[in-house]
Amino acid sequence: MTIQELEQAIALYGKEIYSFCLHLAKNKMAAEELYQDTFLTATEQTARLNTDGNPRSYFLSVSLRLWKNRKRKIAWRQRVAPTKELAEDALNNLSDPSCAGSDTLSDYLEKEQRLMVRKAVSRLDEKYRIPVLLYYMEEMSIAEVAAVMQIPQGTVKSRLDTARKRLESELEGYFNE
Amino acid sequence: MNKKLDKMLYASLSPVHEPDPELNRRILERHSKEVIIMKHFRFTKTAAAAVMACIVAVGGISSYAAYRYLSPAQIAKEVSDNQALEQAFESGGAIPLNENQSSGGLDITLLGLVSGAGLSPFVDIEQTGSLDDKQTYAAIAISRKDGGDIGEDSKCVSPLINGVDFMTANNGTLDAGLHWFIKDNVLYELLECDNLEIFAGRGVQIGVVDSFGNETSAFSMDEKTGAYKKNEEYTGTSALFDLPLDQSKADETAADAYIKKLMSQKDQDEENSEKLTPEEKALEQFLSDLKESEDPIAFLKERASLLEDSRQTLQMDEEGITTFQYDKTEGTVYAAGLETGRPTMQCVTGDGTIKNSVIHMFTRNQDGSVTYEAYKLGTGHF
Repeated sequence: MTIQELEQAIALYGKEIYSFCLHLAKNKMAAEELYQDTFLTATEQTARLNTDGNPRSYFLSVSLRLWKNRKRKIAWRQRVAPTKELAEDALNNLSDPSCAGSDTLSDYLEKEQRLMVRKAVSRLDEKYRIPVLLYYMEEMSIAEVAAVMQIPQGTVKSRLDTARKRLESELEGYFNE
Repeated sequence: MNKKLDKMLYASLSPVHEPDPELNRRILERHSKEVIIMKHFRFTKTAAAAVMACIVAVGGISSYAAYRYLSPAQIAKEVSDNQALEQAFESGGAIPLNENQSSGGLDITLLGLVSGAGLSPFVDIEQTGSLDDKQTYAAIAISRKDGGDIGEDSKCVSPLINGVDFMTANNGTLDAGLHWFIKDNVLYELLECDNLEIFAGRGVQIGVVDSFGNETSAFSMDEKTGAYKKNEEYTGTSALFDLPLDQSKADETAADAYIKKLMSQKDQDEENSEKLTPEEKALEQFLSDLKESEDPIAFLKERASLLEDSRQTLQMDEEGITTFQYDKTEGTVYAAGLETGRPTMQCVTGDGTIKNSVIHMFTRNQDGSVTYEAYKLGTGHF
């Protein structure tokens, strides 16, 4: 991949990949490292970026693979010598830039609601969190999620159903408002 | 399916977080370096791998560095007409790095290193043959992250040798020189010092701070490994780079002899240096006791007076820095690095005597605010 192609890929998919990494890692520093490695690994493995295919799915699958490998390493390190726990769910502390400058009550409530939803999603077990992120954040189809996660489509559907039920129960108060 | 939940999930999880432009720049920079190295590996299959990596990277990284900054060879050319150093930076013996660190709104990039004899920028190429002593050169670029004016002041660049106290081996004692200039709003610095390759076995780092002496606050040596590390609580400019020196050039005997010579010089200097006055010694002891005390405020209350009008509640900015101002003293403190609930002395003002000193204390509170208090010495019992 040429530097121009990489620059273009970052411009086109950078925000989506970065948001995915942030929600996956739940820690800004780890997310930045994952984001950087995603692009570098993807470019190492691909001589030319196939723009006719689905580059975004490809980058997301690289992020996911790297994340799983990294988690294995972290688990190993923690057995050797306990490392300092990651900062308290950095994700929850991140303000939503789309709401910056909002000052009306409805804007405030909407912001609060989004934060609660993100918190609830972040508490989901990774098995359920990843399909939720790919489906709702990346707006992928069931088939695309299955391809990125390398699991059958039926499993994706079932995990999404379970995730929805858990979220529904967690966010009950918001549904009754 | 619950449509309201679906709607909420789409709205809440929409990708809204942009990666830092600096992060994207680093990816492009690293990609450029790796692609060029890979290309050259294909062309030089028969050469030893380690040598290949070194040779290849020279052209590659230097050419990419020019994408953002001047290359080390171009910096050498700007500094002097002597072509020896410029050529050395372009040779296979150079170590290209292009390693970037951020500090205090600055991008600090160690571009490359080279060691050799007869490379001094201020010696004519015809005369270099007569100069046998090897020197090490490091090229550094410093720019502001926000693209703002870089100013006119240089930064202090100094080698730090692992396992050797900075006060013993520093740019002053390693016969270092710093050549610097500003071009296109980028500060370029070229460090010249005694040959660092002999210390490859111990490990060498290069530190960048605002001015000489700041190194003792900005960095500390790990007692076990001897390696220097950045002090997180340090608030000024600081960058610390590990030098990937060629291990085959390590010379333990020469390194030990060099350090022994430095130690002996330091002992001599200390003997000759002006002795501290009793007042200064007493203040030093007081500050040391304060630092060690279990309850610093109780310690101060017994020996000093709180300046009532100094008490302020400060807030940290996004980077954990708080700014304070009292009387004629003002400054910034990296409050996020303070231990919550423990008052910590951050600076002392005065003339070096107890009777005219003021201690500036900072306490990071549970709610994230910072309490500032100033104590006047010389009023309590010692």
